[in-house]
Amino acid sequence: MGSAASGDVDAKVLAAGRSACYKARDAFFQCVESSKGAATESGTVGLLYPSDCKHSRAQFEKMCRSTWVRHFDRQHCAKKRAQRMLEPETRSGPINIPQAT
Amino acid sequence: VGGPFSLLDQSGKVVSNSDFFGKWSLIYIGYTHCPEDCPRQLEKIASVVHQLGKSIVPIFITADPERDNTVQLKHYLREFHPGFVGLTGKPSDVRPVLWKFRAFFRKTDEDRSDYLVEHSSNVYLMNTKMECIKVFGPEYHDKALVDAITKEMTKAAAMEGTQAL
Repeated sequence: MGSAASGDVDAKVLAAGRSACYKARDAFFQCVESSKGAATESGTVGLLYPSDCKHSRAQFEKMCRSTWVRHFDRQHCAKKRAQRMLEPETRSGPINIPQAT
Repeated sequence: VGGPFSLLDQSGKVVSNSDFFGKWSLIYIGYTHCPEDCPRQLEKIASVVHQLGKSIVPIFITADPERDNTVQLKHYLREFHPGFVGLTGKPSDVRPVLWKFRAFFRKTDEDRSDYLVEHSSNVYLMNTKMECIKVFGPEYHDKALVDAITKEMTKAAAMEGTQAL
């Protein structure tokens, strides 16, 4: 019943698989946060990351299903966008234009 | 919210809502290929069931019956709690049940044969007559759930007591 692969359980969605994926994901995003390099490599959904994180990216893509990689990339981008909107240096909004006296 | 249903559990047995009469239950609707949300909620439910120590049955109804067959559910759920009941069936049988619970679900991010399922993430508290007493959103952590459920169980017991008089 259901899928043709009944009897085939994808190990990546079970506890050990999830744990390995989360670990690889956290290692990758930790690298992205701490790296001083320019974000030149493309992830998914528009995510850019520095080339010194290529190895952790490869691990992340290996340990997690591709839909999950996109989900986590999307989540990271949304978090960054929210941070940019809140931080004084990067948020848009009213600006003070010096007035001529 | 809720209503009669007849689905398959993870051992392939036909199960209907009347099989849960006489016990309280907690229903969660999700899917096994879920990146983060469902495992987190299921761990929470397992912790709540463990803390309550009474007869409350954790039930998982899949929002992805095409992939979540009985074998998949068995392997997935036993990691959370041995008493977890997983329900699935033909998509045409499962979908009306999800609608009865007013659960939102939508296939998204389709990538060849893989996809994610956007879904509402609620825990439904069902009483001994399988009536939905309360719906808890994901903002409830396990301690808050234990307190709220205990309150409802006590209230129900008190009402039964007064009705028996």
